[in-house]
Amino acid sequence: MREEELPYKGIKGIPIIKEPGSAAKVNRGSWRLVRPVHHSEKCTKCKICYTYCPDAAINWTPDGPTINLTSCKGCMICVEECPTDAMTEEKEAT
Amino acid sequence: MKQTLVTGNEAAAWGARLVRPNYIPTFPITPQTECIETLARWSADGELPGTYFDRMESEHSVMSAAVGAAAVGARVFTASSSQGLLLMHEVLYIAAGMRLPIVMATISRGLSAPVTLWSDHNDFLDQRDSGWLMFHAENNQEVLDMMLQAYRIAEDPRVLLPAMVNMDGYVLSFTDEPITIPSPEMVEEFLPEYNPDHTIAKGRPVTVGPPVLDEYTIFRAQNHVAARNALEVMEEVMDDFDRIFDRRYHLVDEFMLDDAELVLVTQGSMSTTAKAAIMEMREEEGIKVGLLRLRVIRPWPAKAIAEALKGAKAVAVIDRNLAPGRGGIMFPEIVETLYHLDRRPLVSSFVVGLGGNPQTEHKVKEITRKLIDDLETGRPRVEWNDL
Repeated sequence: MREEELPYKGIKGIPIIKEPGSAAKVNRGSWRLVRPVHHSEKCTKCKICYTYCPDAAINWTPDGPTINLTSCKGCMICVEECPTDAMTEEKEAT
Repeated sequence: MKQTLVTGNEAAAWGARLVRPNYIPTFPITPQTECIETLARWSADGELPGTYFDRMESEHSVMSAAVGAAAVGARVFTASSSQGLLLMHEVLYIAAGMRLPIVMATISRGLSAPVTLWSDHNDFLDQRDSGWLMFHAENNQEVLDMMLQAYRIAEDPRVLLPAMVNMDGYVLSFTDEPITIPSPEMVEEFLPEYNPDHTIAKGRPVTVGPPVLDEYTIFRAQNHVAARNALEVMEEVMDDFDRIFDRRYHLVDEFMLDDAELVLVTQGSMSTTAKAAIMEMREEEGIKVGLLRLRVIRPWPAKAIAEALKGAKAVAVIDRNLAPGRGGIMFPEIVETLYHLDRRPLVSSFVVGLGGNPQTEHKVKEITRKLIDDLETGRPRVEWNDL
């Protein structure tokens, strides 16, 4: 029987990433279908969105939240939890 | 080096002790319990310096902990059986995919339902495609020897795959047999320290097993190549084992095959009974029958098997396992292996010994006589014993 010869790649053939912090360099939000939009006029700076974000995609500034869209997956928990409707859902362009 | 009487469970524990593991996560299950009880006793008595003995809440956690420890470069041992091994199943693929050379003793027991505590090979063979190297011992000496060999093969940079060493529950696990326990110095010469460079270490942060996209096929293919490499590594390791311990092993165990026209293909402890029956049949009836024991299941030593069986006229594949709706699990593997021979033997399938039904010499002789019938009629058969 003939069997295709496959090379053994040693450590290069093992699924590891040797460079630390490599995830920070890629866009982790690329498969997002909807995005949260912040409306500062309604915001009471209660920090609930900042606390509830499961992906630490909301940063806190003296002026209120800013959304890091390379990290946000569009789960809309912030929209659900905002008590003053200062976060709303918007469709990503398709 | 000392001669002593130990059970199969204790032989596996001795194997674990001699390889100086860093970590042993455990969860008890019949018939494996005595193996980890032995290690627990040694650990409590301070006889396992440098080994952290851990008690977990399930087998899934055991294998998860084993993966975590191996991912930071620890040498890991654990053991399981039957339902416990099945609960580990998900994590077994992860250990193989991350290329972590964990070694596990598996003590075969039939699967529920209905419940049995006795041995058959379905629990072990259920892990066949998980990417682990799979060895099956015939007796307690081989259990210990295979443990030492398994670590050396698994940790080889050309392989880096986890390995399972199987023994039959009760028949080996709870039966005292005289074995030679090698000295720690001999084992140290045979098995050097494990110093991997693909694991997490202080000052070397790495991400293990990350998500991938189209590279997935490459990594799967590398698992396959590594397992195939293991065949070559095994031959080297067995040579070296013979040099240091003076016991010779091969990829397959050939018994009286030189002039054999009929060959029984077996696995595990029933091979010893079959060998005794074969000697009697040769002596008393002049039947030219021999035996091929599968001791390496994964990677599949196709060449060695084809070479050993090429002179046979009829082969009986004796499976102590069952794939319902298919038949004996090893039967199609043997048939596929022989398909490309110029002159193929007749191959019959026998499903025997499920749930520990004892395989007596009488039953082996019956199978051999059926094989003679098959040769006369020219038609192979698929048959069950013990019904």
